[in-house]
Amino acid sequence: MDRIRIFLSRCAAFFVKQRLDADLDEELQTHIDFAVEENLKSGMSPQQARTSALRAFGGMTQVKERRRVQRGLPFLEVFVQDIRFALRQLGKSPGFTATAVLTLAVGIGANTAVFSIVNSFLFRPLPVKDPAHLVVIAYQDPKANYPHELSNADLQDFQAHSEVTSDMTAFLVNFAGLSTGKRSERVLVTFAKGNYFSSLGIQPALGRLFLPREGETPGADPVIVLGYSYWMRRFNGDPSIVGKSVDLNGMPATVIGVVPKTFFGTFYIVESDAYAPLGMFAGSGGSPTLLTDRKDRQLRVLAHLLPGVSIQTARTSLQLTANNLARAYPETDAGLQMDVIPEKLARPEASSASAWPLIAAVFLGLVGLVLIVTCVNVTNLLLSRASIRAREMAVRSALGASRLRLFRQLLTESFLLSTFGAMGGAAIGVGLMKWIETIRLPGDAALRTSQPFDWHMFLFVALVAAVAGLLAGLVPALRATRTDPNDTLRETSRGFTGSAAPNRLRSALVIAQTAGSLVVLIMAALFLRSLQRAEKADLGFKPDHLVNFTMDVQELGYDEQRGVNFYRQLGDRVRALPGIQSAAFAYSIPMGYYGAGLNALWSESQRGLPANKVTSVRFNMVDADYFRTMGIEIVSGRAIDDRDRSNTQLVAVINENLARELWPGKDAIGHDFRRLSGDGPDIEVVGVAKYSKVNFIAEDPAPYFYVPLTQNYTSVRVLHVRSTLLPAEVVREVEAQARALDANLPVFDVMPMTESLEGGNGFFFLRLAATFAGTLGGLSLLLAVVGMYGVISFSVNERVRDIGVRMALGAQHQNILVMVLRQGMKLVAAGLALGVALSVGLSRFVAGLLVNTGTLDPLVNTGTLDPLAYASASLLLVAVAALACYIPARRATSIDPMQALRTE
Amino acid sequence: MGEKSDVLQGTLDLMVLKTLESMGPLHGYGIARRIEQVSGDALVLNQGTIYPALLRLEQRSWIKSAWGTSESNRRAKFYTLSPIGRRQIEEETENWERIAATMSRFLAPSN
Repeated sequence: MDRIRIFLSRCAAFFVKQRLDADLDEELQTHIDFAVEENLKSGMSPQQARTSALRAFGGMTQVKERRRVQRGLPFLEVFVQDIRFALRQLGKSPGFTATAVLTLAVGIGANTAVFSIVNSFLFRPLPVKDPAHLVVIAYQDPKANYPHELSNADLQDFQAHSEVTSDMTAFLVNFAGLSTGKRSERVLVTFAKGNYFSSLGIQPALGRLFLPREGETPGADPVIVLGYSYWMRRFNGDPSIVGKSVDLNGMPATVIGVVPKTFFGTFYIVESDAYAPLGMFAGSGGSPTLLTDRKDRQLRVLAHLLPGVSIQTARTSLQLTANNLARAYPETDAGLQMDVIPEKLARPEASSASAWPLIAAVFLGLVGLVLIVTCVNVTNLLLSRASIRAREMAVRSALGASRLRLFRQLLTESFLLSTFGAMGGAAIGVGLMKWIETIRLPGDAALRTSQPFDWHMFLFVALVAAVAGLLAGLVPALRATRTDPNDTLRETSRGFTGSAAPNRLRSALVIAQTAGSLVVLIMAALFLRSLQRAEKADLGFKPDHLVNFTMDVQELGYDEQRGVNFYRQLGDRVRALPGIQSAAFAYSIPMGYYGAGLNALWSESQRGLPANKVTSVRFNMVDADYFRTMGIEIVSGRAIDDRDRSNTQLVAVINENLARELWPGKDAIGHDFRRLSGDGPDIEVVGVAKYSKVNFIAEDPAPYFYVPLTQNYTSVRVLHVRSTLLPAEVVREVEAQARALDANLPVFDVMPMTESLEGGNGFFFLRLAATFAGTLGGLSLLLAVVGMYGVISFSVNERVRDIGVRMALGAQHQNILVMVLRQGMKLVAAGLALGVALSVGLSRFVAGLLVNTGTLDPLVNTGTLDPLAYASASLLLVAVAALACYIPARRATSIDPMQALRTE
Repeated sequence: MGEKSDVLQGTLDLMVLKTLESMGPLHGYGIARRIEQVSGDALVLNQGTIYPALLRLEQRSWIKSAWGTSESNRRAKFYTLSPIGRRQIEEETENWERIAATMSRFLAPSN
């Protein structure tokens, strides 16, 4: 009770300081007046009366000060005072302030940018009901070490038996043609179960969403829900669109509603343009067996865990169901391993669950290092400044400022610096984010990157600023307040600053900073080297002079017969064009977005084995001219050609890796294999092709096979055209031919193969990582230079007298230059040794973490010691550091000994 | 004895309260003089030290202050005991007596 009263009265007093001061002054004056009056009455002289009154009162100033302390909120008052004083001090040395703030801004900015990416990918919840309990359920293929989608048939069994989830829904994302009237365009569609919206708790912005029973039958329930952005873009937000009919992949569907603006779908990196029931995908020819075939595994499953159920419990529980399925359907479900992954970690796909947190950790680690280097830099600046201000501190301490008070003052200064740095850093971070947003994957699906500045970001920047302020300011503040004012005052009067100790500390900091910078530089070099390696690697096909055109006749509702005719005519027309060397159709582009799923293969000797005991292989569907057009070498046998028709023997060309795996040590030609369930028709191997990269630019060679398009229909095809013409000319000619055949067919992803290789499975992430790491490397190099220059030039200033004496005693310019350079290079050498050791340890550690993530290993190629990366990073640092030392060293040689000695 | 002894904080507070209780509203100088007179030569204190004590008591709402006019027609700040303060005197007195008793037991010649 008392305490509250006292606190309130103190708070009140804080705001009426001046009035209270005046009040007290008057009261004390009255006190003295009373005393003087009484003294006069007792017969003292006026002079005596006054002196006696003052003596009886005691220290007037102390009383006032005690009252002030007791009265208000001294902590707050001192804080405000400190800030004012710090601002004045910083304002007095704008050069120092600008350097420190800019350095901090760069460090904090880099951290902000990286964190904002990590934040938007890993921390931001989906705008759905109860995102914290949302998990992705996937199955772990025993053959491949990453999780897969589920089939609808299996999903229904899991749904029926799940005791750990409150609901379970599923979706798949695919391109589709959407047309109103004549114009058809390719849109990204989420095909979902009927309970998709209800279990995610999404309310329509307009109209209605799916009903739980919708979409369970192929072709039934022809309805479509529009994405908000797409509704705005294509229909100008016209509400009357609800109830109208559009064509989805040539099938009429009624628009029933629009999702709210905040909902972008559940494929995290791209916003869906439209939503349709799963039955629409199955019904429109996408996959007729999707809803019923247990092997047709395309569904991404989302579920809410029941309260109190852990991931582990859920996994165990679902595995029990999976074991039952494996017993009931050994053909398809043998060895089914279930995986449950928090939704945040399964972005954009379950298969990246293990990779993203690691990539995030690697980059956060790198920018963290940059921040530390930044702080060390600022610490050094503050230390230099502290020795200049030693006299000021000594005087203030002699005048009665307590050590704590001075300490607080100095720390306030460094926090102020880091606060300004954080403001600058936030601005730089936002700028970097804007830049990152402009990066587009080749192809026409725009990455969803616009991420507003949220409280996570704010908290992060504030935290980084606080840590930076403390890291940078603590040591200088402790050191500056530890000195004995007596010594300092005496020393400075002799014009001799600093003992050996602060110099040793500064040297240690430069070594640490050099080491830190080198680690970042080496990491950057490693990233650049793995990009280089990927660029130089043999692809197994020739990407130059190739132009790709992708099209999907399904988008116009063509049936198989019309599709076959269309593609045959288009191929003939294009091959007849002047300047075209060859042209071929295929289903998937190497390193593209379409890829055929894994197919289990049974060679003759493997008949009867369960699916999980045989080789699972990806494949492509190609036509007669494919191998010639792509430049893939046929090692033995023949390529797929015009002899292979829909009514002839099923054939395949396999790559050398598959040949080695299925028929080791034998000629594969003439052998046959079966695919899918193992009871399919025999496929005869007619040729063996050289290995070429297909899935990922940095993949390890894997088995692969090709089957003729004539024997395997697909409505989506890419046309590869090899020609001597310029790409733009090829594009004009080929598109004219396509239009002549059907003016409404959208042709997309039209680009040279070299450009297509820059995509998500191509160089994109390698290049992005290299660019990012390179930028960080550049930053840390810059910081190293600033730090080195600052320390050497400061020590030259301190040693003016020493150098003057040496020169007076006959030292040549050369000697002085060497002396200063040697001092700097000694530090660099120590930093290099430390940095290399740290890098080796760190890369070993990271490589250890990456053992189980095959896809990341090439991206962060740190497992092996790459001498070239280490050497080039070290050389670069040495060269730049030498330059940073040379400038102050040159200045040292121009010291005039007479003047240096006279200034004493 | 030129040295002025420090007075225990609580002691001074209680002296002020007791003074106000017996003398009624009084200004700072008056309180200081009264304490000096009552304690005689036994206690010589800096008169100024009662001002922090006065603020302390006021912050606890044990006393109140208001500007008024003295008998000699001088403007001065007068302090009055508040009802809370009046109640507090009893408690503080007991407190003090307990301390005094304890101290005297310590100081008594042991045998």
